[in-house]
Order: sequence, then C-alpha cells, then structure tokens
Amino acid sequence: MKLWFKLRHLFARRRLEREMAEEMQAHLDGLTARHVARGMSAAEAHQAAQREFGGMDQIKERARDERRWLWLDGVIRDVRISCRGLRRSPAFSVAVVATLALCIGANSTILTALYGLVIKPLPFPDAGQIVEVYNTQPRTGEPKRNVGLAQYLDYKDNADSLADVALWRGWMFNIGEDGGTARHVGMQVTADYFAVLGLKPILGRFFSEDASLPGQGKLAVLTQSFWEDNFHADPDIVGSEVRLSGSSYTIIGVLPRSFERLSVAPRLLVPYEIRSDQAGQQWRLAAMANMYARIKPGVDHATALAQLQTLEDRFRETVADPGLRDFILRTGQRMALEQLRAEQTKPLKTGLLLLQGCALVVLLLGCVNVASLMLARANARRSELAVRQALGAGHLVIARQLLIEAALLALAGAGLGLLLTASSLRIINVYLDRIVYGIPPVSIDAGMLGLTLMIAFLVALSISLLPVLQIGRSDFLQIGIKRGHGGTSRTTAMRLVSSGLVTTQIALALVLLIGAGLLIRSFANVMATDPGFAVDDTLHVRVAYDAHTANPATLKNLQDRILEKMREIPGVESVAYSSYQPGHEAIGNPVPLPIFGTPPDQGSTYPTARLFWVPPDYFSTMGIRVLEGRGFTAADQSPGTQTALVVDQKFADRYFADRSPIGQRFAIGPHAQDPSQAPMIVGVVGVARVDGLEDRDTPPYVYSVLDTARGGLSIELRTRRSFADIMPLIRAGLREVAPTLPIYNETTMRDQLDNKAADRRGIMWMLGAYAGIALILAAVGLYGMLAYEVSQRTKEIGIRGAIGATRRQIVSLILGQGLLKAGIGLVIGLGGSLMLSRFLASLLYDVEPRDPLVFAGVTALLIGVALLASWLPARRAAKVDPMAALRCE
Amino acid sequence: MPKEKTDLVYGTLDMLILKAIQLEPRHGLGIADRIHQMSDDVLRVEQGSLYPALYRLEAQGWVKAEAGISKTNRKARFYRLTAAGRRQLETEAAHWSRMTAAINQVMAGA
Repeated sequence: MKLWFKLRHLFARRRLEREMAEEMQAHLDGLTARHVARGMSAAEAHQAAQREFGGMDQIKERARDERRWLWLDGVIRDVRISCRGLRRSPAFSVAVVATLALCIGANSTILTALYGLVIKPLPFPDAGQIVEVYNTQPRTGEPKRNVGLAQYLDYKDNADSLADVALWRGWMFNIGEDGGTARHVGMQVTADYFAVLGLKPILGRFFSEDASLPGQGKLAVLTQSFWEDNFHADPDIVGSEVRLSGSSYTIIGVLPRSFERLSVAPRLLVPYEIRSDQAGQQWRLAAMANMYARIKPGVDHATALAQLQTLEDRFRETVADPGLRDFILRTGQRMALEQLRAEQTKPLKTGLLLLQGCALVVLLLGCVNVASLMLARANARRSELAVRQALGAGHLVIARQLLIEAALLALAGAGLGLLLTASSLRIINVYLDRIVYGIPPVSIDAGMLGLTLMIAFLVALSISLLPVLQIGRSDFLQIGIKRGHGGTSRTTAMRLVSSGLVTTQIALALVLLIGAGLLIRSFANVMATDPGFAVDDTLHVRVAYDAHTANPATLKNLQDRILEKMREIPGVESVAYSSYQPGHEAIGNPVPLPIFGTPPDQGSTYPTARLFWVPPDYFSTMGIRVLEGRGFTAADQSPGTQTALVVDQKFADRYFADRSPIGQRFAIGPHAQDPSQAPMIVGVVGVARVDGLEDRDTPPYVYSVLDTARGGLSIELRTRRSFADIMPLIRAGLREVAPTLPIYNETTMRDQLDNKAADRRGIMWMLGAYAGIALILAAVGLYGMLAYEVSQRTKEIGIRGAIGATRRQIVSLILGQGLLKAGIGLVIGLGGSLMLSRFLASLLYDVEPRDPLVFAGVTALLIGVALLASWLPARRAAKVDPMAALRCE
Repeated sequence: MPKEKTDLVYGTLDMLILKAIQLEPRHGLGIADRIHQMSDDVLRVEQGSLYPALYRLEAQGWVKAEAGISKTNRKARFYRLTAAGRRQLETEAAHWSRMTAAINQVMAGA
C-alpha cells in the first residue's frame, strides 16, 4: 500500500501536486469565508485566513516529504537530466548506443545459440543419461557408423547398465488416399524409443514390443505439430486409419511437444520392423540404424561404454568368423557413446565457441571505445560538474548521475542489440538446419533477455567507473573550475591508459582479422576445388515410389516413361537416374571389396569403397570424365553378363598405385569364386565430389551398373536452363506420367554442394562480420583518441605553428603518434595471432595456420586503416590557425 | 500563573484525525473544525501539521481521499476512514486510554 502510494507519487506527480494546491486553497477560502461571515472586509478576511493557515509553501513541502522517496525522486530527476543531456549531444549518444548495440547483439546472438543448442539440456527426464551409441572405426576414417540389429538385441538382453536401448531410422512417406504429392519425413522406431527419451503420450499410447515383429507394425504415432497441422488436433484421432505411402496404418497415439525439441524433422513415427534375416550375428556390424540408450541412474557413461565394449569383445572372440574378426581388428572397430544433445550438436560446438570468443573480443573493443567516449565527455563537462559540486552536490549524487547516464545508454544499446540478435538468429537458424538436420530453431528466451540486461548493466557500471573515479579525486574541483570552459588535458596516467587501450584494440582487431582471413582463404580454397563433375549444369529431382510400384516389370516400365518424358523437356541435354540422390548418406557406408586372388588371411588389405549403382549415361550426364578404360554400356545392363565395375581415381590411386586397375576382379557377389564371372573393373573415372567439395576423408567410389532403380527414382538432369525456369516443366512432365507420386529433394547440384559447405560458410560470415566490427571499432578508437588529443592540444599546436612549425611537421607529429600506437598494436597482434591461429587448424582447408599471405594482407589492411584514422585528426591539427588557437583562451 | 496549553499532546494528531472522520468523511478544514469542536474549543490543529499528517495516513492506507462537494458547494477532497484505519483507530484508542489511566493514577497518587 505504502509502496504503491509512493510510486503513484512518482508517476502522477503533476496531478497530485494540483490536487494538493486545490485542497489547501479550498481550506484557505473556507477560513476567509468564515471571517467574512463574521463581518470582516474581503481583504481583511483574506489576510486573517492566511495568518491562520500559515506559510502554504512550507506546508506543501512538508506534505510532499510524507509522500515521496527522496532518493528515487532524485533518480527520476537524473533520468530526465540525462535524457536531455544525451539529446543535446546526438553524435556522442548515437556513437555509444550503436557501439553497444553491435557488441551486445554479437554476444547475445552467439550466447543464445550456444545456450539453446549446447548448454540447455533436452526437456526429457534425466536427460544427461540419454546417450547415442554408435560404432566407430577410426582406422578407416569412419568415426561414426550405425549399429546392427544383432548389437541391439545383444545389448537389450545383456547390457544391464542400460535402462533402455532403442533403434530408429529415417523413413520418408507420403500421406493420403491418393498418395498426395507431398513427401514427409518420418521415423521408424523400436518400442523402447519412448522409454529411452522418457516420453508420455498426450493422447493414446505408444508402440508395444511386438509392433516390431514382421507384419505387425502398421501403427503410427503422430508428433503434436503433425497432429495439429494435418489432423486439426482432432481429439478422437486415436484408432483412426491413415494411408501412408499406399498402406493403411492405425494411429495409436500423439507425442508431446517436448519431443520436437530433439528434432523438428520427423512428423510421425512407425514401428521399426526387426527382420530376422537382418538380425543374424554375421550382420552385427552392418550399419542398419541409429541407437539411443538410457543409462541406468547412478551408472556413469564410461561404465556403460565399458560394458558394451565387453559385449563386443565377447562377440569378436567367441562368435565372429575369422574374416569379421579380422575386419574388426583392421578397422579399429569399437563402441562409442555420447550424451544425446552433445552428440547432436557436436558439429556446431567448435564454431559457436570460437564465435563466442570473438564476440567477447568485440565486446571488449566496444567497451574500450565507449569508455573513452564517456571519459572524453566527462572531461568536457568537468567545469559543469565542478560547479555542481561547488554548489553542494555530493560525490555520490554526481556519480549517480553519471551512472544513470551510462545506464540509459546501455539500456538503449541493449534494446537495439536485442533487435539485432533477433534478426541474426533468423539467419543463424537457416544455417543451423543445414548443418544439423532437424535441429529446432533457437530463439531468445526469458533467461537470455535477463542475461543481456545484466550484461548491459555491468557494461554501464564499468564504462562509467573511470569518470566516476576521476570525480573522486581531490583536485578535481579545483582543476575543473580553474581551467574554465575548455576542459583540461588528460593527466599523464590517463593518457597512458588510453593509448594502452588503443594499442590493445588494434592488437585484438588484428587477431580477429587474421582468423577471418584464414577462414576466408579456406572457404575460397574449398570453393575453388574442382568438383569433378558439371556442378553448374546438373540438377536432381527425386520421385517417391509407393507400395503399388513393387512389381519389377511395372517399375521398369514406369521408369522408362518418366525418363522419356524428362528427355523431351526442351533444354534438357541428358538424363540419368539412380536409386539414391548422388552424395546422399543413404548410399551407405564403404564396403570391403576383396581383390580376387588375394588370400583370405590377408584380409587386412581389403580395399573399401562406397558402392553406387548408376546407368550407362550417368557419367556423361553428370560430366564425370572417364580417365581410363570405358564407362558402362547398355550391354552391361543385360542380365547374365559379367558384372562390370568402374572405380574412381581415388580408389585407383589408393589401391592400385603401381598398376592399372583395369581387368582386376573382386571376390564379391554370387560369382565371387569364379575367375571368369567375378565382377571386373572396366574403367576409371575422375573423382566426383558429390559429397561436398571439401575432402573430409570422403571414401572412394566404386560404380556398378544399374538397370531399374528401386525404392524411389533419383533423376539427374543436365541442362543449361535455370532451375526456376525448368523445374515447372519437370513437375508438369512427372505429373503427366505419374500423377500420384510425390516429387522431392529437387535441387541443383551447386546448391547441394553449397549446403554441404554451410557450416564453413556460416562461421566464415560470422567471424568475418565480427572481425569487420572489430576493425571499425579499433579505427574509431584510434581516431577518437587522436582527435581528442588534437582538440586538447590546440593551443600547443597553435604555438608550434606560430614559432615556425610547418604543416608537414605538424601532420607528421600527429600521424607519428597514431602510427606508433598502431605499430605496437600490430606487433602484439601478430605475436598473438602466431600463437592462437593453430587453434583454428581444424577449421582450415589447404591453408597453413601461419599463412604468410593472410598475415601480410591483414597487416597491410590494418596499417592502411590506422593511417586513415590518424590522418584525419592530423589534417585537422595542420589546419589549426595559430592566431585563433592562441586567442581562444 | 502557568500558561494554558492548547498544543496537541505529541503523537496524538494521527489518532485525533482518525477519530474526527470516524462517523463521516470530512475535508481538511472540516477535520480541523471537528477536532476543535469535539474538544470544546481546547485543541487547535495547525494546518502545517494537518496536511502532512493526512498524507501520511493516506500513504499508510488508513484514510482514503475522495473528491466531493463541500457544504459551501465547492469541490473538496474528503477523507474517509478505511477498514485498516478503523482497526488502527481502535488500537490507538485502546492504547491511549491505557496510557491516560496510568498517567492519571500516577498524578492522583500522593
């Protein structure tokens, strides 16, 4: 009550003031009227009443005191004064607010992403115990490989450190009676998936164990968004039938929203069918599915991992056949597990931490600039503050006002910074989805908002600290009043501090610029890599098949009609197809390819490669060069002929360095032991970098010939027409041949490669932006310091001019000062960069961490900027008119 | 001869004001008049103390100010006793009578 009353006084001051005046006036009038009634004249009565009432102003003041908080009142007054003062010097205010906004925006953007993706746990019970389990084969360059069904069944029965273990894999579907043309992403999961994540249905139930038995699993669980978007959040949805990819499924439940914090990609879940023919121990290490597990409470991750590894060791020693055992030893196959969110966001963590480091540097630079600005302002206002102090304002009161001014600026900066954050997050989210598929977008939450405001307050506190400390000095008052309006030059200590700060700024900016330079060169190197195929003239589109297109003859017929239609499109030069999109992870992991005639016990020399089935015109359509031998012909496609294989240059170089691979055979397939029938290498083609331009241990490819694509048809088209131009024609053509089949994954190969470089591009842009901001801040810092210096030394420069210093001498005086500071900063920065740049090594591509070109280029750039930043004040100094300068005091 | 005191006993003004508006809301002048009249013209409230006291009571939530029209047909601020004010008045009245009884007893003793 009391609080409210006093607060009201603050905000309704005018009204309350008026009411009080009226009330007292009424009282006075009442007294007057009473006197008149007793027979006094109006004037006498008025006088008497006033005598009786007493001094109205004193009474008012005492009454006011009852109402307000004195100090808060003072704060409000200071806010008003500060606002007025800041409006009066717009250049100063804008400079400070803009700098703060950039710094705060840069930091809260990355902090939000870092918090939302790396730090914040998933919204599942005891999320720290949920892990992803996978095989790792470090010696074949495969750090992460899916698990096999036999591993799953083994762990389920025997790994008692796990509370639950589950399998899942991606599953694409289309929905509706007529198929529809929209393709959706779904998942196949085992029943324990829900227990692993600790999810409870918001409607209905989840799968039971037997849903994974063959032929049982025509059930579906919806995500909440899919339920809302496609089923209008129908509360009676449970039990209804829905057609998915041509088969009927029964909807049995709806997932809670929290599931979508893990991934926004899947729209619905169906049971994972565990087929006994895939569950045998010989397929134990065949990469079939992703595995999630919940470790029992109280059991640490290392213990759980050790148990899984023990089970694997037991398998290797007692079950595995010699070939498999050998494979395990050769590839360094072992188990790995990682906390789920950490594993999911692993590709982002390094980049985000790096960017956060840079953002902090930017914040530091910005704070230095703002502090110098505040200091300069406080200095210029010295006499004003000194007069106020002389008139009785205490240190605390003046300090409070400076703090409030800083807080206002910081708040405005924080506000703008948050706007900046919101828009940068939108850009970041685009990249995030390309780097980690299905990751939910990050957004500013309440905690972040609070943190930003807290940072803003700390910044305000720290930037106003210097001026405040200065006021506390005993001679402040004296100097301030004596020197009068012109302010004073800074003390030697102050000058040392500020030139030290400017030097630091330049050093830090240099470090950031070198980091950015190295990343830009890496990116340029990646982009300049020869893709090995006609990346700009090829595009891909995929047609989904459904259950009806299972018959091989029908499928062949459909494929022929689709391809024919595609060839008819004007501007299409050539058409090829495949079962998977080139470069798609569904192509699968590298497989061992034993060379014919190699004794089995020498298995450790088995080459491995990714197998990709393509038609004869694939190479010509994609623009992949045949380097040796031949490509595929139509004859290779006819059944019964010897299987022809084409290997890429990488495979040839790796395994046939000293001989021609042509004519070599592999002991694989049904005729593995028949020298005349075993698959034979007939040609060598160039490396087509469909997996991304960057060579991140990409395995070599071995191509085999494809007749009819199954499970879906990926079409590659060679055309010079633009994507936007030709896509409608492709759609129309496909609709004509197969009106019910969904079309998806349409992309130019250039876009596909660009997307694969999204992480590199994203980090480069962000770091580049931060380095740019840092450069500007450092330049402004240097300029500001020199300009201030010049303005303070106007008189001295005037005298120099008067006693015969030439313009050139004056310019070089100031210029020399600027360049000296920049030079020291450069040396420190270069030293720092030499030490720090190796931490970037993992992000670089074909660039040494100490790349001389980048170091030299950035140094030159910084010298140029420093020159410009010093030349502007130097020119002003040269223009000082000796007479005017001397007269001004 | 000792001077006759008309000053209020220190600390009793708040209680007197609350008492003055116990039955009906009054404006400032009305409150002063009421105290004057109830005390048979002995107690006189200084305006200099009245208004600060009123605002203090308002801030405490014991009285509430409302706009109204005075008997002389003028706009005026009327102070009304709130429920909390009524309780406060009871407490203070009880305290006062205990105190005066005690003081009387002391003064009456030999």
